[in-house]
Amino acid sequence: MKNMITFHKSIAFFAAAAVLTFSACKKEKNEPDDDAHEHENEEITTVKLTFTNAVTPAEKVIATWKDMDGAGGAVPQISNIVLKANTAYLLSTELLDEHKNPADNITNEIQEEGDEHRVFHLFFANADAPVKDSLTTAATVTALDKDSKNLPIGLQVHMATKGAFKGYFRMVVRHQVTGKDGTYAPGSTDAQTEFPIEIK
Amino acid sequence: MRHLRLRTLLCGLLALAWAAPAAAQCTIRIGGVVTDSETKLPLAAATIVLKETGQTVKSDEKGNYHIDGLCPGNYTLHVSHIGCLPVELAWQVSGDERRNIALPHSITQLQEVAVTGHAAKEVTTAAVESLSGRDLDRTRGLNLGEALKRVNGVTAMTTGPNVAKPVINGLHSNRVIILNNGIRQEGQQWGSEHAPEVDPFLANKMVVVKGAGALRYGGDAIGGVVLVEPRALPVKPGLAGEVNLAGFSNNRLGAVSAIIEQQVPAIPGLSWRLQGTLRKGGNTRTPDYWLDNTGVEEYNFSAAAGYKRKNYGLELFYSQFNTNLAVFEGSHIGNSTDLDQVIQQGKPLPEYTEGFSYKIQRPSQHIEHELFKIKAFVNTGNAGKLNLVLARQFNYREELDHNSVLAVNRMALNLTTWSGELLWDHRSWKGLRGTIGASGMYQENSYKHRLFIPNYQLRQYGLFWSEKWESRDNKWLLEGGVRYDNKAYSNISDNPGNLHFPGSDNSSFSGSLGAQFRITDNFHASLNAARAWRAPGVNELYAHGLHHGTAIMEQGDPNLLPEAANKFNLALHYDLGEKLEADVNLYYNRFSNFIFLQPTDSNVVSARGSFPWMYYRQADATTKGFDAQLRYRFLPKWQLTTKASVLRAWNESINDWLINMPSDRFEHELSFFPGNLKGLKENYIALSLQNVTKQTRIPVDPANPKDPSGQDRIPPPDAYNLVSLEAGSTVHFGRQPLSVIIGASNLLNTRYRDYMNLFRYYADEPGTNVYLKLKLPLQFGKKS
Repeated sequence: MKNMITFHKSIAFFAAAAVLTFSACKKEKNEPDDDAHEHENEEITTVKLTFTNAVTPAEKVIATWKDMDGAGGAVPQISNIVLKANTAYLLSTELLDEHKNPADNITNEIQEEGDEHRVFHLFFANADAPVKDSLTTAATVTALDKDSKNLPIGLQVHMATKGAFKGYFRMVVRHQVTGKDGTYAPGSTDAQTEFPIEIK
Repeated sequence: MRHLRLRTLLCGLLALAWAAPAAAQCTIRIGGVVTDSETKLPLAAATIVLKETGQTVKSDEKGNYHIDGLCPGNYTLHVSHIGCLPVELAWQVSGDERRNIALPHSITQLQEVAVTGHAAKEVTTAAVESLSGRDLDRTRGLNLGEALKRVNGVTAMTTGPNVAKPVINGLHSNRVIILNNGIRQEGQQWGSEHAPEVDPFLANKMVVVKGAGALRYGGDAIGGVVLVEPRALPVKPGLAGEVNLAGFSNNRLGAVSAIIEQQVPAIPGLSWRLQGTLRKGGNTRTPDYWLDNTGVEEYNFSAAAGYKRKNYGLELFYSQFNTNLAVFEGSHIGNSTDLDQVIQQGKPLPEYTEGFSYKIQRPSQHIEHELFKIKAFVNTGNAGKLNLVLARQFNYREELDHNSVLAVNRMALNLTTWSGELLWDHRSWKGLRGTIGASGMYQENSYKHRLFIPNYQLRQYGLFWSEKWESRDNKWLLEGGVRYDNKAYSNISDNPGNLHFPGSDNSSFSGSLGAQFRITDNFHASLNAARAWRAPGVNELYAHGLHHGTAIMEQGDPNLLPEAANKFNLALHYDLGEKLEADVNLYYNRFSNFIFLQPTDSNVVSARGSFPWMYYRQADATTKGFDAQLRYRFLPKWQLTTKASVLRAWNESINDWLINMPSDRFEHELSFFPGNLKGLKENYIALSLQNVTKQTRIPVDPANPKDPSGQDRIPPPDAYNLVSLEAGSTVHFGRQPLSVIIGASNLLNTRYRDYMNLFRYYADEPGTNVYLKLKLPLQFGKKS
């Protein structure tokens, strides 16, 4: 009889333990995002470069790099850039998230975190070339905007083209949380897009 | 309350319907030879009593004894013989095992009992190796992958200092099943940077089954099975425990783990255990620089309770594993141009190698794993035993990338798995013992934020039957089994609903057949042949997106066919007890449709730059090689242990080597045993040398056959040699023992990189690491 009681006690104990543990069941139900495009952060879909002739501001060249479906999938749509030789341009760079309506301008975020970002504009003879192969013979690029430490940001630059050139023009946003010193090396890349370019 | 009960019922039913394999086998046979410790002659008619069950057997004229029909658990053997001192021997039984017992002579031996040669040997035709006792103590504080490296033929695939996963004879991830306390670990095993979510302190024994012999755990264990086994719940009344402490100098890592357990004296058959572990470490240092943001913290606990009577039993187990892992910032590059830049520099940027800190910053990973298990058994008369196991696992993984405002910088995966298994073990019938079982599993995954592995549902079921026959004189052992499995993925999509992946449904048979011949009691040979079968894993089918850290765009293929392997193992084992032990395991595996990630020349262009594109494909392949080891006590106090592990992995379809396979490695250890000193017992000093050769067998790049990098970005790192030194002892404070191990790995602070570490691109391996490990077994109250 005593055994019977202890047996029942044990069963009750196990039943209680089982109920307690299984009631944690609801934890494993994982609802997907309510809003499919609800991200805490922006996703860059579009890079827009506006070249304004420094002497005749009415003369503008606008180039876009656009990829709506993210990495992979459809190939991005990329404009060809055609500029005049031996001409000074003011180049302004914009990054947009066109998933949103109206399009979200991410450029401001870079501006606000200017201390941690550096935008570069580089010329290459070949596509996807290593950074060390960038050319200085195509144009002289000078940043016009500065961060709080007086280091360049690069969203607004002055670009003086030199002679005729045909190759690639790369826009790179470097994210440099620590160690920003104006050079390319520190940090890692947040955004990088490449456009075919012709200077004639 | 009503709701709760309903939910419990539902949960139970669900788990019954779908599940995965595990559980206890109650057809275990233990045995060995009883000898006279002095004359070394076999002792006939020695009486062996198994105290827990009362079973009594006598050794035959050759000293052989065996006891049948045991369940896994802790047992005490009482061995006696006329003219000898009786001996008591504690034995943790987890499978068929052999142990030879040497009885001391009552006339000459007044010393305390030196019972056996060494640890019990598993009796199976598969190639099995285990870590327990002192060998396991020596791995305390390490993660599971690093700990298993002590087993010959097991290497680790690592991603920096904190993430390691076991590689068995070159095979890993989806091809290796990890059983955590009998339950198949369903974590996110697909990535190289996803370590198994298991607390090694839970284990009292770790077993590695190489090859596909272990059918009961699944037909898809093409590489092998790792069993992480806690000790059985106590059966003797009393409260006991154990405290483990470990400290490491390199990353200032500290680990503490404690166990407390009791067999409740008031209620016979009722036992419980609580166990918990805390681990915290900071940045790792290589010989030349620190690796910033490489800290780790871990907090785990488990609780178990069991009620066991003669004819039925019930066991509940619950465990949680939680970790935060910092990811070295210098390894988290933006795109492939960045990666090339890092490789070119040869070392990380100075901003990533500043100094020590315990702080875990982004990029980082947060991982939780929860397991709940119910196990029950009922004896079905004398014929056998029926076992039921139900389990639920929940796995959550969050990967936080760089804190950038410009990207979807995190990924979270939720994986829930329900599994169940029903087994019937039948006891010896004309020398045959076996198990028939059915298992089922249901799994669902959902992701948040960035897409890499889509949402999916998985159903799996299997049926198996295995038998084992041992001849009366223990000379022959035959084993065989068949298994049928079905695995089906459905409802695969991304959250926006833009992408729909086709389902995948595969089924097939697997089987194994093995024989062992015990030529003499010291020498046996085993041959095992198996056909293993594996349905493609979720990453191989559906990976879609950027794999961070590697800066690779991975693309799964939903049309992949199942991978099949024919595997052959030949193992020879020679054992002269303390004096000498030698074994060699030769293997040959032939794969059809071997699945691997193929590097390509194409790049995927994104707003973050371009990434190399790789895709999963299949080829016919072979792997062959051997693991050999020799332990030789060449002088009474000196011992040499040598291990060798050699592997050749060949892609038959393109007639070239397979990528990412471990190179040959050799390890030598010289140990000195000074003998027992006053208050210091089980003393040893060990000096070891590990030699890892350079992997020269890599596939060439067809576009550039002379490139030493082949299809990789860099050539494999050079060979290296590592020296380590360790000393251990058990200190006695009165009746209280304390086991102490002190040592240093990479004693010479050698600078090296390893081919199996993804960090070979970014940084060197850790430098010297001095450690101290303490183990304090506790017995509260009187010893019984």
